Amino acid sequence: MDEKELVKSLEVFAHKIKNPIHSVVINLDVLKVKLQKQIKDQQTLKYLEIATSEVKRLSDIVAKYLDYLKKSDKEKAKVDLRKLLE
Amino acid sequence: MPNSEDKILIADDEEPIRIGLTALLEEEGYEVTAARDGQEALEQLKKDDYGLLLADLKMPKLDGLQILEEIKRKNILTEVIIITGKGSIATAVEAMKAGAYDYLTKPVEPDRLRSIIPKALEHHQLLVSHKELEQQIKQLTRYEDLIGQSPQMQEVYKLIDAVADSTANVIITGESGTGKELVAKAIHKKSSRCNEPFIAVNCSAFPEQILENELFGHEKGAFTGALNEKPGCFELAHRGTLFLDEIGEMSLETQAKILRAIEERRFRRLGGKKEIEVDVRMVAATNRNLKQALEDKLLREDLYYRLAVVEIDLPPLRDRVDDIPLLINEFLNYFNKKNHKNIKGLTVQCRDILMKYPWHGNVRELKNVIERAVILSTSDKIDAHVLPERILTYKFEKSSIMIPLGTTVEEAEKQLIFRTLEMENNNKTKAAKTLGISLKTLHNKLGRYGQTS
Repeated sequence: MDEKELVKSLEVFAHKIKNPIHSVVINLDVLKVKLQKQIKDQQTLKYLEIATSEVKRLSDIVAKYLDYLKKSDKEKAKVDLRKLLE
Repeated sequence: MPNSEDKILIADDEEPIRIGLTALLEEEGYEVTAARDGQEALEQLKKDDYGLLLADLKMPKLDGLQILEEIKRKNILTEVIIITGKGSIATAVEAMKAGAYDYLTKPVEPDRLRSIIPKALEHHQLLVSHKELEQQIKQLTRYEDLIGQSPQMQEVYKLIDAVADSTANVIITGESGTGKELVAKAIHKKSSRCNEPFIAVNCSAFPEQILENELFGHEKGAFTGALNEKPGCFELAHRGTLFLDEIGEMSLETQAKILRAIEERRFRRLGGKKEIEVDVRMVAATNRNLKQALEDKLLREDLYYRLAVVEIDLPPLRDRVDDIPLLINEFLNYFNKKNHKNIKGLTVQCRDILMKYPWHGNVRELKNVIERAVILSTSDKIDAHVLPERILTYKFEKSSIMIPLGTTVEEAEKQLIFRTLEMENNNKTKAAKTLGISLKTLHNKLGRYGQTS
């Protein structure tokens, strides 16, 4: 696998991970809404808050990583200088 | 039809997402349906009205953009929000261009979703009421094949509505070309007889003997040349509607026979012994003034009272000038299609002339003039010069003058001065005052135009 292929496959990987993150975010939110109606125990809800913010962190990491991959992809592409200058 | 206002359709190929989104939206009080792919979503859209579709961009069979295009192509009013994994601007632009209400990137913020949905649904509601209004306007401007939104035509529509489902015979009066047959057809279509035949006979189109033959038919051998039996229009119209146009042009004897057929609900074919029973709704029309026709004994009074249970009088086109633009547009569309042309409209001058012309041939004449103009016109706007000579040379009311484009200022001035003089009965002092010039100037100008006082 050369570097270009590696970057490509990492991009695909990061993209694929977005789907489960998306579904976890949505489902955690549903859980929060439902639990808020049923229990008054703030501590229980706190665990949910933690899980939610951790998924958010995960999502941010993936987004930043994707940005980085795109940038490095662009930076390292071969460029025909003469064409660029024309 | 159930209200689409709070119905949402989800299209996503991943079950965990479908479950989560459904629960989230149901918590918000919406009625939610979930489809597993684009194909399923489209089928669901056919079955039911939805206010909003939340579609994943990437799906097997039909992706989000393809459903969006289908929705727009089929004029479905459901709003679409595309959910995409890629945060790329290109995809977003593509979705918005295709008519998406908005797009969201994964992972979707639940609160963002909650706030955007009511807005999308509100937009959907606007589209629905807009469409309803359009429908209502269309209903106001046309009635079956009749076109017109003027109060006079609204009265006609009301009368047709009121009379259609009764058994009453109807007599329609109006100048030729006002659409009497269209009214007769509308009555038939709106009646419970609509699936039975509508038979129209123009009584002025046949000599008397042949007209009776047309109306009542004949038996084999009734007269020389009657080789076969022939049913008449009364029989053909059984259970349906018989429309007799131009009844004022019929002989009194034929009128008597028709009266008998209407009263007895039975008649004999020419040369026939057997009485044939018929159930026919009669609608008659004439372009004559009915009172005059009765006075002149052109129309039998007894037949008149039989037929004229309800009278519908169609206004001449010049009495409903406001409908002229509507009719012009309708005919333009029609003849554009027929002649594979794409004429966009009329020049101001041309429209002006058509609005002022008295249209003695009424809607039919206007229709013919537009057809001719569409065929002759070489530009995408119909200009006055393609109008028939009789219209261009028509002497319009004294109170207005028509100056075609291309006229010189001098020529225009000359016309204005002469016509003003005409209007003021050649009183130069009055004419000068109307024109806003001094009497001396008027004399000078007249002198220059070669008219001496």
